[in-house]
Amino acid sequence: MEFSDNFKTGTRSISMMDHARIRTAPIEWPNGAAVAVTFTVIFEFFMGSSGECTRSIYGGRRGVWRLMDILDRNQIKGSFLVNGSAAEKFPSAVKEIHKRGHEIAAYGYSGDTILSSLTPEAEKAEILKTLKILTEVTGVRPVGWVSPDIRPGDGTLGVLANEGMMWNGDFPNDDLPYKIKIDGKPLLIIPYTLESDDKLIYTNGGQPTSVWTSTFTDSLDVLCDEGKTHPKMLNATVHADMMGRAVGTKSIEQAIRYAKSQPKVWITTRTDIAKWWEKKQYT
Amino acid sequence: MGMFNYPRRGFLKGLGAAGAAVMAGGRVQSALAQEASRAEGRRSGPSRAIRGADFPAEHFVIRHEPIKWPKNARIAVCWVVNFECYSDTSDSFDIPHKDYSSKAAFRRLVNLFGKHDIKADWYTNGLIATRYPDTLKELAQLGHGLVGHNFANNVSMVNATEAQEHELIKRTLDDMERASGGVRPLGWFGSGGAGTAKTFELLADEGVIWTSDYASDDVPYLVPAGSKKLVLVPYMREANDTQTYGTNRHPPSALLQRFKDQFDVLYAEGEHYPQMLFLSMHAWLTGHPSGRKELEATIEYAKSFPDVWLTTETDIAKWWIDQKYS
Repeated sequence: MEFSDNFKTGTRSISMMDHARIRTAPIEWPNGAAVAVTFTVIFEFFMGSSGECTRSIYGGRRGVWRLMDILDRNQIKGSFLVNGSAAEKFPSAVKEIHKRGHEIAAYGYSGDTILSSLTPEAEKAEILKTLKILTEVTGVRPVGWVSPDIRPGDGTLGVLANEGMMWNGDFPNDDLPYKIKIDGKPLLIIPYTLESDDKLIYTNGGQPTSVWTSTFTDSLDVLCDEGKTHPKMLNATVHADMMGRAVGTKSIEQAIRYAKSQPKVWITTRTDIAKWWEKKQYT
Repeated sequence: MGMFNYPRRGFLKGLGAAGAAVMAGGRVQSALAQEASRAEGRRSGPSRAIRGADFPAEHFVIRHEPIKWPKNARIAVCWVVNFECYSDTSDSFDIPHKDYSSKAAFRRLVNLFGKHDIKADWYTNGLIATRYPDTLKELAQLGHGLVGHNFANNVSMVNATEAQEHELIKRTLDDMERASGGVRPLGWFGSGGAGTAKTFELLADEGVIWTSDYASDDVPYLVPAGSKKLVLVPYMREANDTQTYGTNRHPPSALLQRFKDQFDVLYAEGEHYPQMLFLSMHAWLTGHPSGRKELEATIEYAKSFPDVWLTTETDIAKWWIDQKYS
């Protein structure tokens, strides 16, 4: 007898049982850190006619430049998630991000092309196009991928694994990375933190930017405590055309300074987390 | 469109008994009502909103070299009043609520700006020229900036045909020119900043020299408008009362806090790269008594620093053209 679709589980790449594996054994971070922290900048461009397409120009003209300056004067490296179309429109900005030593990971081609809405062929083409553009602009092929709006399609992980990508950041489902195998190939999932994200708090939520900061610092306090025995990771995200505006600067610097003031915080990038995971042979 | 998603009811002017008959579950469904919407250019067709893929190259040329403001100011600061009016195709809550702008708020804001010798930019829906013409005459006499802001704030320019879009622009500017006693607006901001790939050309053909439709930079830049150019004076919605007070009901002090947060950063940056800041308010929100103290505090705050150019967007656009900036 055929079961209805309601009983199918673990059959999609985003529901496969690898994702459901719970890690109980603690890991170690470099230098005995309790928490690994990533500061993410989303640099997007909208090719369609959403209300966001005019304001997304701000990211390349001004926002990423201000954010690079903030990161640099605080002497930390950011994790930049870049749309392929943003790199096409603003190549000098993307080259500068690379030149200053920040991480560049791929964030799909356009902020309003959601992978889960595409056919498998179009989804794959979108991923390959994005990787090609970013490679051409910076001279280095990205090793990490986050899907626009954190919405991968069912084929996304398979394409990434087959392309030899190191990590994916689409899953807001844990406080630590975990490895999956797809099509027999390994891929590291580095969970996304939705909580300290300026689009949710500031732009859509209409909260003051200080709420973004306190969401981050409250989370960091808790993870520093939990991390004494079970080290964890935490991410904070700003968009180049949202808190990359002048209104966000003070709040971002407060968050960075707070993280830097904690003795057991490792401020890093996703790719360095992935390399560490590889080195320690964590699963 | 409105803050509250009330079902549409009432104010279907001229529909009479037929209008009463079209209310089905709070929704307007009859052909007659659709015709009323179509006449206003509202929901009359597919969206013609400009696509990111259609932006001309000028938007992607990054200005790295600093500009200069008059007297070497570090920052240009403007106060923008969204001076709104809703047409008869809106619902029975929005029309009177936005009319607060012209009735009570107008006098309070004019007096406050007068007390501090501030000229503001008034983003004016063309319908105000019909309903409250004296307000525009007074603003013109006082030297405030009159800026076109679509015909009515519940009317879509992007769902209109190109001919309707042109009509909305022309009628707004013509009506404002007549009501103000001869001042034709030189600036434009579409409702919600919405526009099509054709908007800038239509504006330039009607005598407009600047628009703030895009929130795309901290300082102006020139954009093509058919065979002409417009100064794009980028909009800022960060210190904006719809973000703080209107939708989210933060205390009025949140507006002041956002203004200061931006001012401090831009003023510091302005030492080497002169910057620009607007406070953007809606007369029906910040023009209420609840907004006056905080609005006044933003003016006093900006005035407490040296090297601040208190100006209007029209004067910024004229400066940009005079200096031949790109």
